[in-house]
Amino acid sequence: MRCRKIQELLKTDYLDGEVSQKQEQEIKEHLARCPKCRQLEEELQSQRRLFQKAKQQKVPERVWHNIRDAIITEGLNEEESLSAGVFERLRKYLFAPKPAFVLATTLAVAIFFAFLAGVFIQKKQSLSKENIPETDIAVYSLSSASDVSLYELGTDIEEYFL
Amino acid sequence: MNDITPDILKSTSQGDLGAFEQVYKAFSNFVYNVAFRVNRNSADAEEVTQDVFMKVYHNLKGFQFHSAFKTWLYRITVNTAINYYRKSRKEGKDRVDYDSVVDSLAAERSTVEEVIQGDNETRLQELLKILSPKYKACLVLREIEGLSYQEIAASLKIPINTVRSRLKRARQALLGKGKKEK
Repeated sequence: MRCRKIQELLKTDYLDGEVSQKQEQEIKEHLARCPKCRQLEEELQSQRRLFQKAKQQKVPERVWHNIRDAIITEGLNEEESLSAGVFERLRKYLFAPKPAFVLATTLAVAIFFAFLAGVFIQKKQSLSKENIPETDIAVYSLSSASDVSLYELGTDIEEYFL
Repeated sequence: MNDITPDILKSTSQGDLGAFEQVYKAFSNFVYNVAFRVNRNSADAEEVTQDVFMKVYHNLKGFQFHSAFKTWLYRITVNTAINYYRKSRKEGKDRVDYDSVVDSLAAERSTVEEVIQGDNETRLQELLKILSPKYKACLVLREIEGLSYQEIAASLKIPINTVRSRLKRARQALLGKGKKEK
């Protein structure tokens, strides 16, 4: 193997013990006769020792306490929102605008008003045509009895109230 | 690092806090140390650790056991740690780096061993400072946490050859930088 290939393996598989036995043997033989590659291997090993001596940091106790407290608080908030939310959800469910209900309500209102209008018109007609005789109109005339034309009383609704 | 049984994971997913504490005890050192090395300060490492375990607690219901829990946790840890690092860099958080704390504490150390340990930590932090987070994460998983190429690839969801090339570039970048000044 050439130096370039050896150096590549030194920085990866060789250093990390991922080379085959045969490759390892070849690399060792190369290192024995190549000072440049040997120096690189020493530097890499020294770098590795520095990492291996790294002190494992101890996790502070408060980290677990914070996590536990956060979970408990979340649980309490969830329960609270669940109980408070029952009525809110029920209200929303009942009063939520649903297409079928909206249509039915609109139709019912329309029918109701149509019915009212029908009753009103009927009442008006019975008052204006049947109960009041034609001759009585003269009573409301502001002109003299000899006047040919009768005084106009205005619209139908005005007539109704008079 | 102990692997946790599926029963414990199932209990945790059902909200059993006792079971979750066992999960925490088994993996908190790993999570904290990776976060500490990537972010280089204990305050961020604490935040990352809390964040990772809250994610685990909330998302365990959806964990399908298609991959090992350990691999899943490694991935959450590395991603969260890198995101925190990027976020704090973006926000320009003025956090005290661990290396400056080590320096200030060195004077108070009494034993030779403690001074040497402090010195190693300072050099290590100097080295890690050079690397971008993805290279740093790869190197930390390999050199400090001892994960195999296969495990790193699965944790970071990258091909093994990418693991290899990241390690090579990281080591190349650090060559000559970690030497003790005389």
